[in-house]
Amino acid sequence: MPEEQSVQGTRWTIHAVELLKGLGWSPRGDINVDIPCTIHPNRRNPHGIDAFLTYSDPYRKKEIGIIIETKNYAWRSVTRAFIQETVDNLIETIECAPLSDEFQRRLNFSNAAVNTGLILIWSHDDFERDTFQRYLKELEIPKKRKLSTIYVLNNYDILKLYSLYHTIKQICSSLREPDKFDIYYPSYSNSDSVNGKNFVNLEYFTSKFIFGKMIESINYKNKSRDINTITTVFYFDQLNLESLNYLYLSLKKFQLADDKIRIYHYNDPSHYRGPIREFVRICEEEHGKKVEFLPMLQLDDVPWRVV
Amino acid sequence: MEIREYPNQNEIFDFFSDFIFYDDLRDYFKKNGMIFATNKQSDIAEYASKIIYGYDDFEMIKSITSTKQRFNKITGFQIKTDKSIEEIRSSFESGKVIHTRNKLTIKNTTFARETEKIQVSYSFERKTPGRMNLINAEERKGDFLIEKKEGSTTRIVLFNHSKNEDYNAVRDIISSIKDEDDESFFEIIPMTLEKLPVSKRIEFIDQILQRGYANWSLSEVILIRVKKVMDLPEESSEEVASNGNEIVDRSDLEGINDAILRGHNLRENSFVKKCERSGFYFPSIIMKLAHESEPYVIHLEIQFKFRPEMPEVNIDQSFKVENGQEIESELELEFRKSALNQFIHETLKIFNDIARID
Repeated sequence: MPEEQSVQGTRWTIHAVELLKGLGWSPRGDINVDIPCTIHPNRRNPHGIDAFLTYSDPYRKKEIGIIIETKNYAWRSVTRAFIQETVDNLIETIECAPLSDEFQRRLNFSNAAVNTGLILIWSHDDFERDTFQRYLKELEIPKKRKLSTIYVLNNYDILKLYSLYHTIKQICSSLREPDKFDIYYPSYSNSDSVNGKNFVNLEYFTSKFIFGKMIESINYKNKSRDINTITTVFYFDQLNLESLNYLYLSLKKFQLADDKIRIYHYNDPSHYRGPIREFVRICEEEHGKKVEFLPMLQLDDVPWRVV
Repeated sequence: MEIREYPNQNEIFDFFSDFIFYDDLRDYFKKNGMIFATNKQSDIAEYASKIIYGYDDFEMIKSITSTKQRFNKITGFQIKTDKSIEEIRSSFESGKVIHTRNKLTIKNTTFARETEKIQVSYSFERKTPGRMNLINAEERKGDFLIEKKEGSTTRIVLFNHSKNEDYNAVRDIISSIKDEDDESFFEIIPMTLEKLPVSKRIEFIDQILQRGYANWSLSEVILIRVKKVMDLPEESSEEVASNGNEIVDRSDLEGINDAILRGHNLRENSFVKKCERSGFYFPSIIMKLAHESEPYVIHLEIQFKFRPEMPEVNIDQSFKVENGQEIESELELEFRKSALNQFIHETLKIFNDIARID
């Protein structure tokens, strides 16, 4: 059984790395690397790193490295204690890794800043989102002098990421020039500049809106001509009018509202047809924007398990 | 409230830094799968200000600022009434609007028959200057407890406040309860040292320091504030060089500590005698108390505030003792509540004995 679990775990690690790679992250070195512990006197075992990926952070303007921990377990094994142990271990790994020569030599080739971890817990037989959130709320987190940030993703979050990945792929393949789609990071300094990058950073994983822009082009006299810039939003909030109006305020604030706005929504719209119509009307009549809603793919299971 | 502008990063940073308690902030993000292992709220605020929040997120965040209390403070007052417990209970009618201007409303009332304790929940709208659209108006929620006082018809009203408005809300609700003849159900007994002669005010602090508290032992007096009695002629205060609300200096404090820890009466201390002669008293004191069975130490402040006039017990700082070292740490919520409850009752008892309130 433990061997089977290990195979299952490695399989999930490989797929998780693929997913993150698909969202624009760069895998570094091998998966399942052990690095010796240097600063925790009570620890006997080395720190196991399932995977290490980096990306260039648009806000910090530098390469940051994320230590990945993947778990693929039956729901009954996903307990508060299990998550606590996983988080505690990852915090220790994050503390140790930057000081380890082996980590630098085997994984952190670009000398990325490391103070962040990502735990992807896939429960393969069952899942209760409320219970998982309750476990998270009950976790005891140390108050360290130096910040370590850990993201803990569950089935809901993981399926959401797969859906995002799938939709981005779909958008790119629908364009004449696939590179004419970019994820956008709003400028927070009250200037009108925005940073276009073709990857999804960690902060966006928990954001309700993810912004992008696509450029539609046509072939004119054997040359590609851009005809339309479309503001693209991956929308994970509710589809009621308050939430949609709030989205528009954010687009206005970040100067991202082009004449055409395409909203890819994740949540079920069946009870919100009225508010959606009203929002489309307001945007058109009051703001002069043409808005279109398209559904994102809803998955019941991770794609690599669906044969 | 309608939000008319999406907040910028600085506003979100300020909001997370200033309007939410550290533990509540960490809890909010924890539930959403983001864990911040840090002791600095500003680190969390900086990181979290880069996330794009939706309408529901801000509604949730705002509700944390309006509903959560830290339970580091407790206050209370006493009410005289000749009404029966049933009459009192039914007078706090759920849904009753006390003030329309700030939407002060009784939300719910619960009653424990055996202990005769009544808990009243309320809400009101608190408006703040438009620093941020997010917090132009917040709904504050709170509750207060009405307890029986042994051997008396007087009842004690207790609540964990965080702002003066909470005190005003409780007082307004109590004052609004009237019978058919428009007579008030309750007479609020003011709890203020100002009503007592100086000697009694000093006796109050003396008794606070001399008292044996169950489970806690006094290790040190950390701070004492001195205040001049209002409307006292200037010439009578020559001996003590203070004209307002000042802190007792280190050498005098050492003398007081020495006397108290040896079990001597505070009023025998030369500095205290000088204060008493000059018309000064002590409106606020901070004591260091060690728990006798748990590894906890607290700095407990007992004070009488002026606007509004109310006694207040406050856990100013708290520590866990590990390997002989005191590490600053917030104590468990239930433990804080229980300690505050114990000390406010002791404070009220001492005050009542000195002020001769039945």
